[in-house]
Amino acid sequence: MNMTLYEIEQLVFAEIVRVSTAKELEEIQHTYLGRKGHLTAILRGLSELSLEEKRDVGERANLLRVRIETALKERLEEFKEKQEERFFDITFPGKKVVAGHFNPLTLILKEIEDIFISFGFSVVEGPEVETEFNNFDALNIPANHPAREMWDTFWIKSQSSNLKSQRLLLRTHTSPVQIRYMMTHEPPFRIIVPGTTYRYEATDARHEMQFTQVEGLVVGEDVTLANFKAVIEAFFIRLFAQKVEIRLRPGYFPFVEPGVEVDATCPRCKKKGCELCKFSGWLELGGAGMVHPNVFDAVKYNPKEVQGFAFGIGAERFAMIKYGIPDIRLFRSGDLRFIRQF
Amino acid sequence: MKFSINWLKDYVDISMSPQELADVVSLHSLEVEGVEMKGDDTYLDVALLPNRFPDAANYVGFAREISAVTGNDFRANHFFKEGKKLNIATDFSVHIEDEHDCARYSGLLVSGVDVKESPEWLKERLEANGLRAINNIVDATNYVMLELGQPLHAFDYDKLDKGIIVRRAQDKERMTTLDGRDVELTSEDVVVADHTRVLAIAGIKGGKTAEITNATKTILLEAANFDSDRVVRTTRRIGFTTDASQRFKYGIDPNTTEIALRRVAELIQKISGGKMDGFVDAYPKKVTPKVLAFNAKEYEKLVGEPIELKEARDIFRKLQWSVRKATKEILWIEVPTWRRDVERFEDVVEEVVRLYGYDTLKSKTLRDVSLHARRDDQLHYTRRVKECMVGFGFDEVCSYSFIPQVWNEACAPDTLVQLENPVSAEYYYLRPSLIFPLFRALESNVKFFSDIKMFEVGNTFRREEKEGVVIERTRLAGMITREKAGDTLFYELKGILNELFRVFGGEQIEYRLHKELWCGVLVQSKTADVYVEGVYVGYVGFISPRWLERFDVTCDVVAFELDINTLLPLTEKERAFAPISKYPGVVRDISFVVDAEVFIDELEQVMYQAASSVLIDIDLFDMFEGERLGEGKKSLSFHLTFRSDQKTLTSEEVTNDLAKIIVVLREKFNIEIR
Repeated sequence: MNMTLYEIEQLVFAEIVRVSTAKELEEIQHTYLGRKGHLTAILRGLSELSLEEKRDVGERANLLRVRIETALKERLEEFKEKQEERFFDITFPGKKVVAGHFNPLTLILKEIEDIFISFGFSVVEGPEVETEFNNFDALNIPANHPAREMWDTFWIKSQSSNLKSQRLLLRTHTSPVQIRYMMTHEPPFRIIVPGTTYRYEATDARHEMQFTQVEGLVVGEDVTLANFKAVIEAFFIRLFAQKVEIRLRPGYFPFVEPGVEVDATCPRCKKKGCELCKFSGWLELGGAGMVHPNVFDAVKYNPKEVQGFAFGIGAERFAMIKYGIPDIRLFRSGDLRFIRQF
Repeated sequence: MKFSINWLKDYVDISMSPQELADVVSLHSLEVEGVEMKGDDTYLDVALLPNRFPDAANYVGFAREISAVTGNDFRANHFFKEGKKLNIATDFSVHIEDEHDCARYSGLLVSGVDVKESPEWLKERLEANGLRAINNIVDATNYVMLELGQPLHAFDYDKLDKGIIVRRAQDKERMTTLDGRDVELTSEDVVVADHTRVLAIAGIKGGKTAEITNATKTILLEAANFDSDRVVRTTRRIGFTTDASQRFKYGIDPNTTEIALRRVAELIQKISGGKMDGFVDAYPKKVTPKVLAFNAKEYEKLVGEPIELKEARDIFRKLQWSVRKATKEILWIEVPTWRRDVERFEDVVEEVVRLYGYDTLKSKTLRDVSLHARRDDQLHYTRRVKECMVGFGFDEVCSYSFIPQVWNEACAPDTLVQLENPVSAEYYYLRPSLIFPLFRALESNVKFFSDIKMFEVGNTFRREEKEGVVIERTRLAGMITREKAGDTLFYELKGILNELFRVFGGEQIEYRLHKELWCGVLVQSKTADVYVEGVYVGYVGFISPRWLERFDVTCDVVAFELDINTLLPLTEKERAFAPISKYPGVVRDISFVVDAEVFIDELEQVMYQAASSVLIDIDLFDMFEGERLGEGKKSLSFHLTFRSDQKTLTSEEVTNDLAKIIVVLREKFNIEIR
């Protein structure tokens, strides 16, 4: 019961369209192109035909075979595509991977350090337990000077009966590292000194007995206050990632003269006034000034040959402004509900 | 200090609004912290730091600043003009025993006074400035103190024995203050006395002996300049301060005494009557104005912005400073003695730049490029350590450097660093280890989380026993916790440490049995000392349940602590490339039963020794104990990896090695192959 080419052509394509599974396609292939398939039979029977018929039928049969194969293949692709379109839930929860979290203090310090490094500053550290000399005397804050009262100090209990030995304390600022650095290095240089500092005082949302300061010091032959203004302006603009204005006001720190307070326009309200800046449009962000000649004397620099500026900023304060943290005590609370937000 | 704007207007014109005034004063002079309306007056709350307290913590001084910043006329100069010479008292004298204790003592007798209530305006001004009105004489002295900054005192002249002596008190000498306090004095205290008794504690408080009463007819007005140090020491010892002592603490211009006496006598004559009846003045070393050079070039060199000399001259005029001499580049200026803070050129620069305006200062980029900038090695290292720990899933905590007093039981108390003035028993010693502050964090977090991984990098403090030197070390510590985790928690943390060491290039990592019960906080048998290249770097181990009970922690806790100062030089080595083997590795598994108390470490060492060098890795992948194996036995399974970088290993070579391993294991540990 052999089929003719015509009959095959009439049936096979309709069947290919009709079927709906890959298995049925396989059956069609078998029925027509298989070893005992209809088309295969025609091709096999070619030898019995005349030369002319052979050429005509052979050509048509081969053409048909290619068309069937193509149609089968295309239909199979369609089935595969369909299969890929089956229900897939992209809203199913992702598999949990747990990364840890940095304390926001580390994050802000990294930002601050990286900015100053890009300005050509070195980053320098020093000990938290300091001598009275480095923390006060060398910084032009002699004993009995009323200015000492500006820094409430934790003193270390002495175990030495030797009265000549230096009194020790927990540094009240990172400024003593200025002294350590200058005693061992020659200008010109630019440094920042991040580090933990301590003040003996009652804590509340804005005050801490332990906090983090970043102090800067630039010394050279011709370093000016105008240079400081440029550095601090560029720093704030980078840190807050927006244009901010800088304002200097008279300030008092015994280790600098002239001494200034540094304000910047509030990055949250852009000078319009908000809760953060207490509706003044400005934030107090640090203290600075030109290094006092007495400080240079203390480290055996010649104040006639070198000059420079120093500044100090609080890391917690910047983190509070940048991340909207309302209470300075959170940084050292150890509370993971806080830390895991960063 | 709070200043009434109405009162300030007595000495300077103020045309702008209080807020505008506050802003301009803050930008050019002193920080105004608040503006407060009260009745028909407004008060400025001004922060006075030690440098400007001497000259500006009084109405006339602050008005002078307002005049300097606004350019408005200062109308109190008449106070400072030399007036008619005062008559010297003839039957009364003043003697200062030590001029270091008292730079000047001036007195003025006023006779025929009528002690009574002050007029309303005076009482109002005093009360609005926080002082209680007493009588017209005392009120006048307080008023002039606020006005000119010079503390004054009035004695009842008729109660005095001959004259005034400024001397040290005798030990145990006593005095009753005007407000009824009985004070015992020492030879460290300076007193104002007559020839028999102590009349006042110098610069702090007057005594009852020569108190002004309604019957007082003649008064001695005192305006003195006592030594700041002495006054501060005495206030500390006796435990109270006064308005006067605060002013002496910051220092006062000694030339103000006479000015203040003239002013108060004038006021007393107006409100009480009486007549000036003699002046006494002990002033051993007269303080004269300093003359400083202001050089415009030097100014520009420091500030970075030029200034015209005539601008500077105008600023000095506004400050009420006079110019003695001028050249093309230099002004020789006379700094008035009330500006005790101005001692040198830089101080003068500050005056000029603040009044000229910091807003006129243009930013200028630093000139040269720094080529030797570098980051502190340790800082860089700790930052990378932190990044690594966070990558391992740890949260970073920061804690206080202080630990509670009661925790000293866990430490060697002699090595603890103690504070002279701790804020409380909770924050008493400096932490000798980071593990203690981590307990605080643990305690506050176990309420919310059972699965905790946290770490801290920070400094620890210890006192060296011999010299008493404080040793400060930077450490990394961490804790992991889990409910009923058992031994695996230790191995989990150990695995993390191994990876940490691998990342930082540490070699020869060893975990040795913990030697001493460190701080009594750890379980000794479940703690290992960690060595890198034979150097002790820290420990890892289970926290003892006894210690955990204190914090109501019920889950298992494993902690570690490493000394970063020690670790840094051991691990921060240059990375070196090792050739990648071209030949495939062969993995064979081996399982055996062995006594439960054999250490894995020992087995591994023996296997490495028994095999040839082609055994490159041993990996324990299964361990179990059970009845099936018999009491005191465990079953272990290892992947052994063999690889040569010379050739492809044949099956026989590997089998040979494996056989050697088994022989030695049997011999040494009596293992039973499964």
